[in-house]
Amino acid sequence: MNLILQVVVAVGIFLIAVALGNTLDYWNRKLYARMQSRFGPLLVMYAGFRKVLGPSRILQPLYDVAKLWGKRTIIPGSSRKNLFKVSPVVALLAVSVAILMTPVCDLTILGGLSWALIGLSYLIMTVSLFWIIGGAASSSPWGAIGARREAELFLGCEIPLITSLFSAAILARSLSFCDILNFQRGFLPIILLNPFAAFAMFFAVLGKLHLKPFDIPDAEVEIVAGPFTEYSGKLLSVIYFTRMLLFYLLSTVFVDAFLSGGLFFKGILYPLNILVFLGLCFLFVFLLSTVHAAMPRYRIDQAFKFYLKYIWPVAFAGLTLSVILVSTGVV
Amino acid sequence: MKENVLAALKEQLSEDLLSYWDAGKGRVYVEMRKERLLEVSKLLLKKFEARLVHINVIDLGIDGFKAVYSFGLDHLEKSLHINIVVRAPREDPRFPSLTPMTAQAEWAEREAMELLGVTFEGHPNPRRLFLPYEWPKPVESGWVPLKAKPTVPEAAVVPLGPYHPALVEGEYFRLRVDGEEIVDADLKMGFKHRGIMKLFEDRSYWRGVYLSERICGICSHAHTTAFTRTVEMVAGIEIPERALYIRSLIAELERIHSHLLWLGVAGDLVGFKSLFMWVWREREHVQDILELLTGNRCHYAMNTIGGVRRDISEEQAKKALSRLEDLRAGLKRVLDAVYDNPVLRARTEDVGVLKLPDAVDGGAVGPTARASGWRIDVRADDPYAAYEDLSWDVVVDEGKDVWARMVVRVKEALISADMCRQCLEALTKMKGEIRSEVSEFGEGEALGKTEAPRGELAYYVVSDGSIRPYAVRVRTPSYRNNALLPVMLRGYTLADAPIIIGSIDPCYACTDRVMIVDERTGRELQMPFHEFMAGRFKEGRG
Repeated sequence: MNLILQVVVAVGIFLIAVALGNTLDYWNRKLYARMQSRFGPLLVMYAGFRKVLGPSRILQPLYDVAKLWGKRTIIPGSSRKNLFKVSPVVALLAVSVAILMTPVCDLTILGGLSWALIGLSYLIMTVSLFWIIGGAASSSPWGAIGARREAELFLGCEIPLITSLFSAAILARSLSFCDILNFQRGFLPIILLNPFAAFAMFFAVLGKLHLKPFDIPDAEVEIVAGPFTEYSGKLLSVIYFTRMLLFYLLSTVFVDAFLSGGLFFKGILYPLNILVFLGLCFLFVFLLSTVHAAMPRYRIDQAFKFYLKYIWPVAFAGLTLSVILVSTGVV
Repeated sequence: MKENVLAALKEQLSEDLLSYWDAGKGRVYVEMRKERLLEVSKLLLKKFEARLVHINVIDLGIDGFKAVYSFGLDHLEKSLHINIVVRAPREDPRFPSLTPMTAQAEWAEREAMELLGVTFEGHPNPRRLFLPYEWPKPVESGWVPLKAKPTVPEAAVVPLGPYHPALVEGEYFRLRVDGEEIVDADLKMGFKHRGIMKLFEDRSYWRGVYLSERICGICSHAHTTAFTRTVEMVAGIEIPERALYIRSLIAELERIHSHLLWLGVAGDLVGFKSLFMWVWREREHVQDILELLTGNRCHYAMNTIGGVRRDISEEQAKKALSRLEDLRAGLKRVLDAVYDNPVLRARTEDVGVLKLPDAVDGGAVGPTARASGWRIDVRADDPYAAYEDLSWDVVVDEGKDVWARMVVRVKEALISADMCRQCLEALTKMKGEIRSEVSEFGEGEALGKTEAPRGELAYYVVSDGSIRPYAVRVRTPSYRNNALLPVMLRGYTLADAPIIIGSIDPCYACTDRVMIVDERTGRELQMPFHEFMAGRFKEGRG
């Protein structure tokens, strides 16, 4: 019985992730377009599309995934075929498991594990790693250069990401995500206790999601699509889906770890928490897309220097602050 | 200055100087024996600091070939050009090469060698310019490799291209890279050479105007202005003042639209999609003005021999003035938003530096030259249309990098907006004809130049007295700036390549293909096109 319930919850969380990932991605695209004063085609949408995409095209990100699924998959003859085929799937699996470790308004199945945060960090890393492997296996020079850049960017943004997550964990004195939520519920959102960690995390997420100024690995005018250049059809569809879920995952992790997961209300008002959670996710995406719209792209060496010079010190300051707060007994 | 140069030439040449004549408007022709060409060129280039505008080689049928070396001294004295005319017999069409002396001659000589079959003796790099390197034996000869051989014999071959998303148009760059750093660069032109210069010879002068308009979609007015100006110089036609103002007005509107287009594309090349969208939104104001005044957004068809085709009414002028104000306000908003962007600065400052000596030796033109601190502008040096009557100044920047080129273009666009205002105000005040009658064309030839948005655009027209030109030679500004790209690219990273290539505002109608040679392993990531196609076909059939 318990197992069936867990499976149902897992499927439920996954469906929430798909729906919310789609919406956040859509929201990001919409904001980005509006900030650039793009108004879309003047013609009214083709009536046949309206059924598929919804009246406001809100299903466009999912539709992209579905459309690519129907296209022919071309595997380059000179690529390492098995690695090339397997790596996007592994990345998708990693992000799917990571989703189960991240609570959505108390709804989780793996978030309560005592090592959830460590697992999460590894899984987020796995996504980047397998994208690097896929790009390198594609035998395309753009793929190789893109993979190299991805690896460099990965070094730059992974350390602030993990450091700031662990700053939150130190404050909660637990590596379980549920404990971090409970700690904030009884006290304050961690962003107020440790703004440094939240700041570092925000920039790390920009790099992880390849948003400007850190969209260097798939810089279109320089290296076509970087590691994803040779991917097409179903494999590209998997990559799109992974990116969509990653968008959801990192927004949720940020909201959970620093904004108390939106859980501000108790008792009868508890359903309001869902709205707060959604609102905080949207706010986070709004900040991401503002930076995305307002910035050109760094060169890879400049980006790495930026992380090293500004974000790493902030992340370590956050870690130190957490340690001080805990050791002096303030929290 | 003119007298000094002529006296020096006479002294140098004595009886080898066959004849000389002053064609008016600062154009001096000197005919001489080709044996003395090298020393005369050295005298002009080194002592008088002339620029070599172009080498126009003309096929005179049984009379052999005539080469007109157009030396520009207009940056020193207004409108002064010395055209050195040398001839070679049909049986032995050889000229001495100036390329060892100046890089400005390199492409002109290569072009003449392949289009006319003459030989420039001593050219260090006589490869094909427009035709494929392997022409006329595409399969047997295979691909002509880079100048330096790969260090390791076995070459892994990967097809790249024929498209690259950095540039909408095509050109083929071979970048030799060590890691991400560019060690050497080479480029191949001519993927869409259409032989327009030959087509001119089959058309009357009036139809030639439309043909010249189609050389470039962005600077179409600059091309027709240069062509009509040259033809008017040949035929000795005076143009009414009102037509001159209209020509200047359209040319400046075109400059704004071209510079804004470039600014957007440059933004895109450093990943600034928002700048691209914002600038192109403001650019619509100019496009609307152009549509209002000429009826078209790109090919305006305003110029004709002897004047312009459409008049501008007072009502149109008023509307255009108000839209210019909108443009200025909108542009200011965008520039305020992006001027201090740290990432934009980081990507463009100290990138793609072109030092002044390189710019002078390679003959850079237009904003590329002005951003290297060289004060040349045809509008000021060799005034045409109404530029002498307008109040404006040449924009020069000492930065020498991509950022400087960006600043020069933005400033020029703003100055152009002001010049448009002056033209429109002058047009509302003056009355008069917009065309003068053209009766007949005599024999003659002329060099006409305009300042296109990308730089100095030179036309050379030879007339034999008929209704069609005997020969037309075009030297576009990108022709010069493209040749300088290898200099700018060397030493920067692969990530900088798109913006450096983009920074000269390149304009080429050909297919872009990039080749990367890894310096350490010598792997060539490139495959001959026919091999690539052959592989493709096999796969398709199997």
